[in-house]
Amino acid sequence: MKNGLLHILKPCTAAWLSLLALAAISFQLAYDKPGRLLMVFVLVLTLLKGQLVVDYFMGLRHAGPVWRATMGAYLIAVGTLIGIAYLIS
Amino acid sequence: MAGPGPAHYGHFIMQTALTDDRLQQSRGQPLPGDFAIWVFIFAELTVFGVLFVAYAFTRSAHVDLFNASQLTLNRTYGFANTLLLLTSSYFVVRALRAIKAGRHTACGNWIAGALGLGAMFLLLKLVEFHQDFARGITLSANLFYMFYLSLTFFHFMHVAMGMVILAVVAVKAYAGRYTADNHTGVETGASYWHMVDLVWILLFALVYVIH
Repeated sequence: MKNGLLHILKPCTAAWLSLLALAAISFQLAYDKPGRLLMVFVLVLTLLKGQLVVDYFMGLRHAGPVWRATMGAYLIAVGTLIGIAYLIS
Repeated sequence: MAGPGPAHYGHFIMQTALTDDRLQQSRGQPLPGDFAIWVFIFAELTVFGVLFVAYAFTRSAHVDLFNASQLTLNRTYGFANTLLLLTSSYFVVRALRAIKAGRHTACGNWIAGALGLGAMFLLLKLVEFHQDFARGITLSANLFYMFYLSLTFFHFMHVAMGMVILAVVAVKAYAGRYTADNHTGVETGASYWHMVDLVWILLFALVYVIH
Protein backbone atom coordinates (compact mmCIF):
# COMPACT_ATOMS: atom_id res chain seq x y z
CA MET A 1 0.00 0.00 0.00
CA LYS A 2 3.00 2.28 -0.46
CA ASN A 3 1.23 4.15 -3.24
CA GLY A 4 -2.15 4.04 -1.50
CA LEU A 5 -4.34 7.08 -1.00
CA LEU A 6 -3.24 7.63 2.60
CA HIS A 7 0.41 7.85 1.47
CA ILE A 8 -0.39 10.52 -1.13
CA LEU A 9 -2.38 12.72 1.25
CA LYS A 10 -0.91 14.93 3.94
CA PRO A 11 -1.11 13.16 7.34
CA CYS A 12 -3.61 15.75 8.62
CA THR A 13 -5.83 15.26 5.55
CA ALA A 14 -5.67 11.47 5.93
CA ALA A 15 -6.59 11.89 9.62
CA TRP A 16 -9.53 14.17 8.74
CA LEU A 17 -10.90 11.70 6.15
CA SER A 18 -10.45 8.83 8.63
CA LEU A 19 -12.34 10.82 11.26
CA LEU A 20 -15.23 11.47 8.86
CA ALA A 21 -15.37 7.77 7.99
CA LEU A 22 -15.29 6.70 11.66
CA ALA A 23 -18.00 9.25 12.51
CA ALA A 24 -20.17 7.85 9.70
CA ILE A 25 -19.71 4.30 11.05
CA SER A 26 -20.62 5.45 14.58
CA PHE A 27 -23.71 7.25 13.25
CA GLN A 28 -24.84 4.12 11.43
CA LEU A 29 -24.37 2.04 14.58
CA ALA A 30 -26.64 4.42 16.51
CA TYR A 31 -29.60 2.75 14.78
CA ASP A 32 -28.58 -0.81 15.71
CA LYS A 33 -30.17 -2.74 18.53
CA PRO A 34 -28.58 -2.12 21.95
CA GLY A 35 -25.89 -4.59 22.96
CA ARG A 36 -22.70 -4.79 24.98
CA LEU A 37 -20.57 -5.68 21.96
CA LEU A 38 -21.96 -2.69 20.08
CA MET A 39 -21.27 -0.43 23.07
CA VAL A 40 -17.67 -1.59 23.35
CA PHE A 41 -17.14 -1.23 19.58
CA VAL A 42 -18.54 2.33 19.48
CA LEU A 43 -16.48 3.25 22.55
CA VAL A 44 -13.29 1.95 20.91
CA LEU A 45 -14.13 3.87 17.70
CA THR A 46 -14.68 7.01 19.79
CA LEU A 47 -11.35 6.67 21.59
CA LEU A 48 -9.65 6.07 18.24
CA LYS A 49 -11.21 9.28 16.90
CA GLY A 50 -10.07 11.11 20.03
CA GLN A 51 -6.51 9.86 19.61
CA LEU A 52 -6.49 10.97 15.95
CA VAL A 53 -7.55 14.48 16.99
CA VAL A 54 -4.90 14.55 19.74
CA ASP A 55 -2.11 13.31 17.47
CA TYR A 56 -2.81 14.96 14.13
CA PHE A 57 -4.96 18.01 14.91
CA MET A 58 -3.62 19.08 18.30
CA GLY A 59 -0.15 18.13 17.10
CA LEU A 60 0.80 16.06 20.15
CA ARG A 61 2.25 13.35 17.92
CA HIS A 62 5.63 15.05 18.22
CA ALA A 63 5.18 16.36 21.77
CA GLY A 64 7.05 15.04 24.79
CA PRO A 65 6.15 11.58 26.12
CA VAL A 66 4.72 13.06 29.32
CA TRP A 67 2.13 15.12 27.42
CA ARG A 68 1.25 12.26 25.09
CA ALA A 69 0.90 9.91 28.06
CA THR A 70 -1.24 12.44 29.94
CA MET A 71 -3.67 12.83 27.04
CA GLY A 72 -3.67 9.08 26.36
CA ALA A 73 -4.36 8.37 30.06
CA TYR A 74 -7.27 10.83 29.98
CA LEU A 75 -8.92 9.10 27.03
CA ILE A 76 -8.35 5.62 28.47
CA ALA A 77 -9.58 6.63 31.95
CA VAL A 78 -12.77 8.29 30.67
CA GLY A 79 -13.39 5.47 28.17
CA THR A 80 -12.81 2.74 30.77
CA LEU A 81 -15.07 4.32 33.38
CA ILE A 82 -17.85 4.84 30.81
CA GLY A 83 -17.39 1.25 29.66
CA ILE A 84 -17.62 -0.07 33.24
CA ALA A 85 -20.77 1.99 33.88
CA TYR A 86 -22.42 0.54 30.76
CA LEU A 87 -21.31 -3.03 31.50
CA ILE A 88 -22.69 -3.04 35.08
CA SER A 89 -26.05 -1.64 33.96
CA MET B 1 53.28 21.72 29.23
CA ALA B 2 50.71 22.97 26.73
CA GLY B 3 46.99 23.05 27.77
CA PRO B 4 44.06 22.12 25.55
CA GLY B 5 43.90 24.18 22.38
CA PRO B 6 40.96 25.96 20.72
CA ALA B 7 40.21 22.86 18.67
CA HIS B 8 39.66 20.90 21.89
CA TYR B 9 37.16 23.46 23.22
CA GLY B 10 35.43 23.61 19.85
CA HIS B 11 35.02 19.83 19.90
CA PHE B 12 33.68 20.00 23.48
CA ILE B 13 31.11 22.68 22.56
CA MET B 14 30.01 20.67 19.51
CA GLN B 15 29.60 17.50 21.62
CA THR B 16 27.56 19.41 24.24
CA ALA B 17 25.30 20.89 21.55
CA LEU B 18 24.75 17.46 20.02
CA THR B 19 23.91 15.97 23.44
CA ASP B 20 21.41 18.79 24.13
CA ASP B 21 19.85 18.23 20.70
CA ARG B 22 19.48 14.47 21.33
CA LEU B 23 18.04 15.19 24.78
CA GLN B 24 15.51 17.60 23.24
CA GLN B 25 14.55 14.99 20.63
CA SER B 26 13.99 12.35 23.32
CA ARG B 27 11.84 14.80 25.30
CA GLY B 28 9.84 15.68 22.18
CA GLN B 29 8.65 19.09 21.08
CA PRO B 30 6.99 21.44 23.57
CA LEU B 31 3.20 21.75 23.57
CA PRO B 32 1.99 23.97 20.71
CA GLY B 33 0.93 27.48 21.68
CA ASP B 34 0.94 29.24 25.01
CA PHE B 35 1.38 26.85 27.96
CA ALA B 36 -1.41 28.64 29.86
CA ILE B 37 -3.99 27.44 27.30
CA TRP B 38 -2.93 23.85 28.03
CA VAL B 39 -3.57 24.31 31.74
CA PHE B 40 -7.04 25.54 30.73
CA ILE B 41 -7.49 22.66 28.25
CA PHE B 42 -6.61 19.98 30.82
CA ALA B 43 -8.92 21.64 33.36
CA GLU B 44 -11.77 21.73 30.84
CA LEU B 45 -11.19 18.14 29.76
CA THR B 46 -11.29 17.07 33.42
CA VAL B 47 -14.62 18.83 33.98
CA PHE B 48 -16.16 17.28 30.85
CA GLY B 49 -14.66 13.88 31.76
CA VAL B 50 -16.29 13.96 35.20
CA LEU B 51 -19.64 14.94 33.65
CA PHE B 52 -19.41 12.13 31.06
CA VAL B 53 -18.66 9.55 33.75
CA ALA B 54 -21.48 10.94 35.91
CA TYR B 55 -23.85 10.55 32.90
CA ALA B 56 -22.72 6.96 32.36
CA PHE B 57 -23.14 5.90 36.00
CA THR B 58 -26.50 7.69 36.33
CA ARG B 59 -27.63 5.86 33.20
CA SER B 60 -26.67 2.51 34.74
CA ALA B 61 -29.48 3.01 37.29
CA HIS B 62 -32.02 4.21 34.69
CA VAL B 63 -31.18 2.24 31.54
CA ASP B 64 -34.71 2.04 30.10
CA LEU B 65 -35.37 5.73 30.66
CA PHE B 66 -32.05 6.74 29.05
CA ASN B 67 -32.48 4.41 26.06
CA ALA B 68 -36.06 5.53 25.41
CA SER B 69 -35.22 9.22 25.76
CA GLN B 70 -32.10 8.90 23.60
CA LEU B 71 -34.27 7.59 20.75
CA THR B 72 -36.22 10.88 20.73
CA LEU B 73 -33.11 12.90 19.84
CA ASN B 74 -32.39 13.89 16.26
CA ARG B 75 -29.25 11.81 15.55
CA THR B 76 -28.93 13.28 12.05
CA TYR B 77 -28.35 16.72 13.61
CA GLY B 78 -25.75 15.21 15.93
CA PHE B 79 -23.96 13.55 13.03
CA ALA B 80 -24.09 16.71 10.87
CA ASN B 81 -22.64 18.72 13.75
CA THR B 82 -19.87 16.14 14.11
CA LEU B 83 -18.93 16.55 10.44
CA LEU B 84 -19.01 20.34 10.79
CA LEU B 85 -16.72 20.41 13.83
CA LEU B 86 -14.28 17.81 12.44
CA THR B 87 -13.97 19.76 9.18
CA SER B 88 -13.67 23.04 11.04
CA SER B 89 -10.83 21.56 13.10
CA TYR B 90 -9.15 20.38 9.90
CA PHE B 91 -9.37 23.91 8.48
CA VAL B 92 -7.61 25.20 11.60
CA VAL B 93 -4.83 22.63 11.06
CA ARG B 94 -4.45 23.96 7.49
CA ALA B 95 -4.36 27.53 8.84
CA LEU B 96 -1.45 26.59 11.08
CA ARG B 97 0.37 24.95 8.18
CA ALA B 98 -0.18 28.09 6.10
CA ILE B 99 1.29 30.43 8.71
CA LYS B 100 4.25 28.10 9.24
CA ALA B 101 4.90 28.58 5.52
CA GLY B 102 4.66 32.36 5.98
CA ARG B 103 1.29 32.70 4.15
CA HIS B 104 -0.68 34.90 6.55
CA THR B 105 -3.60 35.63 4.18
CA ALA B 106 -4.10 31.90 3.53
CA CYS B 107 -3.97 31.38 7.29
CA GLY B 108 -6.73 33.98 7.74
CA ASN B 109 -8.80 32.37 4.97
CA TRP B 110 -8.61 28.88 6.53
CA ILE B 111 -9.61 30.29 9.92
CA ALA B 112 -12.48 32.23 8.33
CA GLY B 113 -13.65 28.93 6.83
CA ALA B 114 -13.40 27.27 10.24
CA LEU B 115 -15.43 30.12 11.74
CA GLY B 116 -18.11 29.66 9.07
CA LEU B 117 -18.42 25.97 9.93
CA GLY B 118 -18.45 26.82 13.65
CA ALA B 119 -21.31 29.25 13.00
CA MET B 120 -23.20 26.51 11.14
CA PHE B 121 -22.67 24.21 14.14
CA LEU B 122 -24.15 26.81 16.50
CA LEU B 123 -27.06 27.51 14.15
CA LEU B 124 -27.90 23.82 13.78
CA LYS B 125 -27.66 23.34 17.55
CA LEU B 126 -30.02 26.29 18.10
CA VAL B 127 -32.51 24.74 15.65
CA GLU B 128 -32.20 21.45 17.53
CA PHE B 129 -32.71 23.15 20.92
CA HIS B 130 -35.75 25.00 19.53
CA GLN B 131 -37.30 21.75 18.27
CA ASP B 132 -36.47 20.01 21.56
CA PHE B 133 -38.19 22.72 23.64
CA ALA B 134 -41.20 22.65 21.29
CA ARG B 135 -41.52 18.90 22.01
CA GLY B 136 -41.45 19.49 25.76
CA ILE B 137 -37.82 18.50 26.30
CA THR B 138 -36.63 20.59 29.23
CA LEU B 139 -34.09 20.30 32.05
CA SER B 140 -36.78 19.07 34.41
CA ALA B 141 -38.43 16.62 31.97
CA ASN B 142 -36.28 13.68 33.12
CA LEU B 143 -32.71 12.73 34.12
CA PHE B 144 -31.56 11.99 30.57
CA TYR B 145 -32.80 15.30 29.20
CA MET B 146 -31.22 17.11 32.14
CA PHE B 147 -27.83 15.61 31.20
CA TYR B 148 -28.40 16.04 27.46
CA LEU B 149 -29.34 19.72 27.67
CA SER B 150 -26.69 20.58 30.28
CA LEU B 151 -23.84 18.84 28.46
CA THR B 152 -24.72 20.09 24.99
CA PHE B 153 -25.35 23.66 26.17
CA PHE B 154 -22.10 23.69 28.15
CA HIS B 155 -20.32 22.53 25.00
CA PHE B 156 -22.26 25.10 22.93
CA MET B 157 -20.81 27.86 25.11
CA HIS B 158 -17.30 26.48 24.53
CA VAL B 159 -17.85 26.56 20.77
CA ALA B 160 -19.01 30.19 21.05
CA MET B 161 -15.93 31.09 23.10
CA GLY B 162 -13.68 29.24 20.66
CA MET B 163 -15.18 31.27 17.80
CA VAL B 164 -14.35 34.52 19.59
CA ILE B 165 -10.73 33.33 20.00
CA LEU B 166 -10.53 32.22 16.35
CA ALA B 167 -12.05 35.53 15.16
CA VAL B 168 -9.28 37.45 16.98
CA VAL B 169 -6.66 35.11 15.44
CA ALA B 170 -8.16 35.62 11.94
CA VAL B 171 -8.11 39.42 12.26
CA LYS B 172 -4.48 39.35 13.40
CA ALA B 173 -3.57 36.90 10.62
CA TYR B 174 -5.10 39.14 7.93
CA ALA B 175 -3.26 42.11 9.47
CA GLY B 176 0.01 40.24 9.04
CA ARG B 177 0.69 40.08 12.78
CA TYR B 178 1.80 36.42 12.52
CA THR B 179 4.81 35.12 10.65
CA ALA B 180 6.47 31.77 9.98
CA ASP B 181 8.64 32.34 13.08
CA ASN B 182 6.04 34.03 15.27
CA HIS B 183 2.67 32.27 15.33
CA THR B 184 2.15 31.25 18.96
CA GLY B 185 -1.26 32.97 18.88
CA VAL B 186 -2.43 30.75 16.02
CA GLU B 187 -1.23 27.61 17.84
CA THR B 188 -2.95 28.72 21.05
CA GLY B 189 -6.30 29.36 19.35
CA ALA B 190 -5.98 26.12 17.36
CA SER B 191 -5.30 24.04 20.48
CA TYR B 192 -8.44 25.38 22.16
CA TRP B 193 -10.56 24.71 19.06
CA HIS B 194 -9.30 21.12 18.81
CA MET B 195 -10.18 20.59 22.48
CA VAL B 196 -13.76 21.69 21.68
CA ASP B 197 -13.75 19.17 18.80
CA LEU B 198 -12.37 16.39 21.03
CA VAL B 199 -15.08 16.97 23.64
CA TRP B 200 -17.80 16.86 20.98
CA ILE B 201 -16.50 13.51 19.68
CA LEU B 202 -16.96 12.01 23.16
CA LEU B 203 -20.28 13.82 23.69
CA PHE B 204 -21.74 12.69 20.36
CA ALA B 205 -20.90 9.06 21.06
CA LEU B 206 -22.23 9.16 24.60
CA VAL B 207 -25.48 11.09 24.12
CA TYR B 208 -26.47 10.22 20.55
CA VAL B 209 -24.93 6.82 19.72
CA ILE B 210 -24.10 4.43 22.57
CA HIS B 211 -27.14 2.67 23.94
